[in-house]
Amino acid sequence: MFEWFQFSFMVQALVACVAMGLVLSYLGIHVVGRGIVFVDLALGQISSMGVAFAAYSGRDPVLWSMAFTVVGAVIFSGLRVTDSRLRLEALIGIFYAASSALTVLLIAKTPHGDADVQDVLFGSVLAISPADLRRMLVVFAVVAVLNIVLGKRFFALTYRSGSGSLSNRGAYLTNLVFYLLLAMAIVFAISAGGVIPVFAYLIIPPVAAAFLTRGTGMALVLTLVVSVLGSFLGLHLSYSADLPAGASIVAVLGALTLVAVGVAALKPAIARLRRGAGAALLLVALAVIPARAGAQQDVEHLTTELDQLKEIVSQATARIAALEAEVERLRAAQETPAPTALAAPVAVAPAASRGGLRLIDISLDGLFAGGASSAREPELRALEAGGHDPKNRGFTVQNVELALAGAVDPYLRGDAFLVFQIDDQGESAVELEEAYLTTLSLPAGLQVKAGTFFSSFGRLNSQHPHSWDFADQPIVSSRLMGPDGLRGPGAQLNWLLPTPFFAEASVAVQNSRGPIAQSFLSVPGEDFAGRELFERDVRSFDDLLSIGRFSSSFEPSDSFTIVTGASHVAGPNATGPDSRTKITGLDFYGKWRPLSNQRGWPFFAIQTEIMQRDFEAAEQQLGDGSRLAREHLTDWGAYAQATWGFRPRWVAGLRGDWVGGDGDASGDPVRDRRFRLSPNLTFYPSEFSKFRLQYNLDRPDHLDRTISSLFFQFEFLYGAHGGHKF
Amino acid sequence: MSPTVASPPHRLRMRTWAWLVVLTAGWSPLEAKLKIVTTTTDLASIAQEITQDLADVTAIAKGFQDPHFVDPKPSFLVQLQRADMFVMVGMDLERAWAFDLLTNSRNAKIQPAGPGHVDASVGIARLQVPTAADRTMGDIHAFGNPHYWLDPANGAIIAGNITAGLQRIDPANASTYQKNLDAFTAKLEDAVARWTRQAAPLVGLPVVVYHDSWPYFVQRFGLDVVAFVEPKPGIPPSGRYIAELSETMKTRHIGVLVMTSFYDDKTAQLISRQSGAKEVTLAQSVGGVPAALDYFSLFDNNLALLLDAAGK
Repeated sequence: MFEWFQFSFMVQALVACVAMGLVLSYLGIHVVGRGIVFVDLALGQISSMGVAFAAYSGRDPVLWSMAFTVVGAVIFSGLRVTDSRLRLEALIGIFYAASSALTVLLIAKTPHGDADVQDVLFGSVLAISPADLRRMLVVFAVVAVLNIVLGKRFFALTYRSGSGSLSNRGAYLTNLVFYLLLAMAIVFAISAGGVIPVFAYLIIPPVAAAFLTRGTGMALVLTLVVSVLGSFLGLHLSYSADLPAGASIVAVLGALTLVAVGVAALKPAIARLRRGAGAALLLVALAVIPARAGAQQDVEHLTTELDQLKEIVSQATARIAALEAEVERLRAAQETPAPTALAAPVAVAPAASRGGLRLIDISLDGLFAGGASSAREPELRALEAGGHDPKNRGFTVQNVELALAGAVDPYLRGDAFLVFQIDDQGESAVELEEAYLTTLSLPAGLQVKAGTFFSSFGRLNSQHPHSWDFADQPIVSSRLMGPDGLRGPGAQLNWLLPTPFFAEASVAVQNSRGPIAQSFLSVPGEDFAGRELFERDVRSFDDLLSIGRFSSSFEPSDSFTIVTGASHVAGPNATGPDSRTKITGLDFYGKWRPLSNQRGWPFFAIQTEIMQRDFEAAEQQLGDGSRLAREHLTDWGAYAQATWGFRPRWVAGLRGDWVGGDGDASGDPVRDRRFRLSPNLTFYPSEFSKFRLQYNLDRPDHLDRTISSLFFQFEFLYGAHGGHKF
Repeated sequence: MSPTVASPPHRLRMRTWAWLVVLTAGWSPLEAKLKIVTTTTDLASIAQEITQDLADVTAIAKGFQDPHFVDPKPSFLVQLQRADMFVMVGMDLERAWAFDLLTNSRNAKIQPAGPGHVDASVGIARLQVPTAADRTMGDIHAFGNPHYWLDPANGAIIAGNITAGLQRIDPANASTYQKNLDAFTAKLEDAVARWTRQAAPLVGLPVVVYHDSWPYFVQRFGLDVVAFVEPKPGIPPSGRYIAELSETMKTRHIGVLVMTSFYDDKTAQLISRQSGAKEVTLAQSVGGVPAALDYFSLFDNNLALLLDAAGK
């Protein structure tokens, strides 16, 4: 049964895992106790910045990654948060983002810098060499001994129990030593095990132990037991079920936590603790929420919805199969018998067979989410305002998209996207998301797009939900572009400028009506900022939307690309006969990806957009006789996100959202000030599927409390789907 | 009062015009040399042989890059907008990124229906064309394995396709292209004969290959591929698979592990350590390793490495 002990590399991996498990889970008790779980990712990133710096300046990478990490640990140990609106976690997140960005900049200036950073960050437990293992064990031994010697002081700091016995200066020094030990353990563990297993070892065992016991001593013992059990069973699972080692260990640790939750659920006394730590694990949340909702009705409802969806999918599948068979038949008919070996070169007429026959590309993409939130459902729907955001406790059908694309004739190409959804009331909905033609052969770098399409404003507005890096859209997009994005019937002219670098200008005219132009004519009868929206005719060109965008791209190095853009849209709004809305936005995208990558990994990307809306609200007489004067309402918002493909198939992301409006908007869920922080982690089994876990920490003014939400998103894509724009 | 009062706006206009002239020069048809953009460096090397100094040839993917996974960077659009000819490997190799670039290039000449579009795979004897395929088999190619340029004999077919494209867009130089093609084909025939002689000791040599990108090469030179490190194309191996593979390699005395430069070298090193086999990193394209300077040295170098690893 345990024949894997015969292989020395498996035994080495076990030794490495058990050592990592013991040391990291012990440190994890402090990390979880202090609420600084992202310190692990931040220190890992800082150590890679050290490697990048070493590569850039030709110095020793191990020494400099240690030096950088030590400095990072000193800074973290000194961080104090006195402003109640902030959290230490948010500051650590900023360090993570900043050091990631600096790493990218350093690498952009270093030939072959990519490889060094990968060596440090993307360890594989199975491939650890005996020399690396010895080095790691020595460092861990030092960390362990110092933890035993200083254990009492560390616990005093973490639980603030006997803090009276420590002077301020003593407390500072103890804290510093703790962070230094943590830094050393993380640097060496990551180089052997990779980021995710290290993160799991650090966080999962202490959380599992917390479910089982409230005693400090007992928690310590259980933490160590869970970590060792996780290592052993994880490697065994990896070997016997033929699975990747790191992921298996994380899965087993997760399963052990589920067992712990089950045990805890039997003891009602621990219920309170469960609620507190519930947000830490999706599995836990998904297990708890349906139980709470507990409505048999909902399940039945969902079943019928799924049946309907299955019906739609099976119809689409049949159609795809029929067309593929047709393509296959035509191709077989056209295939020329091929010459053998070194045949005489063949001259080919322009119309002859060209590889694949591309009549129409058909694909179906299904995007779903399961969610849990501390907000009640009506509140959650206001917070997750995007049309494709996960809006329910339980499951949401975010977007089932049927895409049809292909060349129409030598001059035109056609694209159409039909979206199926099941809304929050359980009703099926179909929408025509986009259908447009694109010219292929205009001269002078010109291109016309006409039909109904997403407006070319910023980066995210024209992207479809399944290509977003997060489970929901940024708040500023929901507010200014509208829940379903800014789109509609119209025409657009794009010009690729004859500059040596990429520069494109586009102008477009589109209709200004409906929920798909919410900041403009929108839907008559609804209201905005206390004013009613009227029916308004199109009398002139000014009653349509005019949209302009300019974007350009630069490549500081072969592996580093930047795209920047500026957009503007102006059009009528329905609060009065002549009132107008203007929105201006700036966007930036930077991506690092080494040319010699493995199926697209690793990469690091930063994306940010900032927008401002000037809404001219016309004078209105209200029903009670009072009058609202004409005024300009200004709303602004921004989001900034970093995504890091740290090892093949895995992407970690962090996004910050800030929005607000002027005047007295604090009670208005679509205009209030709001801050949101969203870390997430995505696993891509292949290019055609993904699983994503996302946490939202949300502080909206109108609710006056902090909301935690957890989403688990999954996607599948099949058929021939076009590549995405850079 | 003085003429200088009027001159600033005038000078401004002059400068605007000067800029416009400079900018529009970018697409003026005055430039004599043809601009050819290829997806891979192998195609670029062959196109350069046929055009000699009549064209500027650039490749989008670098030789050490996995040609399946190329970022469609905006700067490629700029290159394609100005290209007279576009050459692709085809058979879905570049499917994930090339067609979107083509559509947005706004260049009618190089669209799939245009005169300057060359699919180099026309006329290739395709290997591994699936009779039935679905994605549970991993990342498979519906039109067969697209790494056909790794059989040097196919180089002549590629060159023929490129020449036909050149003769369509530049009929004035048709005879020059034909002459260059004949010279290239003759040179290639000699080289293939030489390589086949050199590779005689490799016939029947059992090897393990990381990713199945070498069937055309293997067919030409007679190697015996016993297993792949990837259990299915594009799916990375697990610990158990690695252990079993290493055992198989030991018991069957397989001494050579063929690796391509852009795949995960850690796994290959581990298998090499476990099994005692020698790892050989071959260039899949021109520029994949520094020694592979052009289509000819690509094969010189790969064969020398294999002969060395096989101890022959």
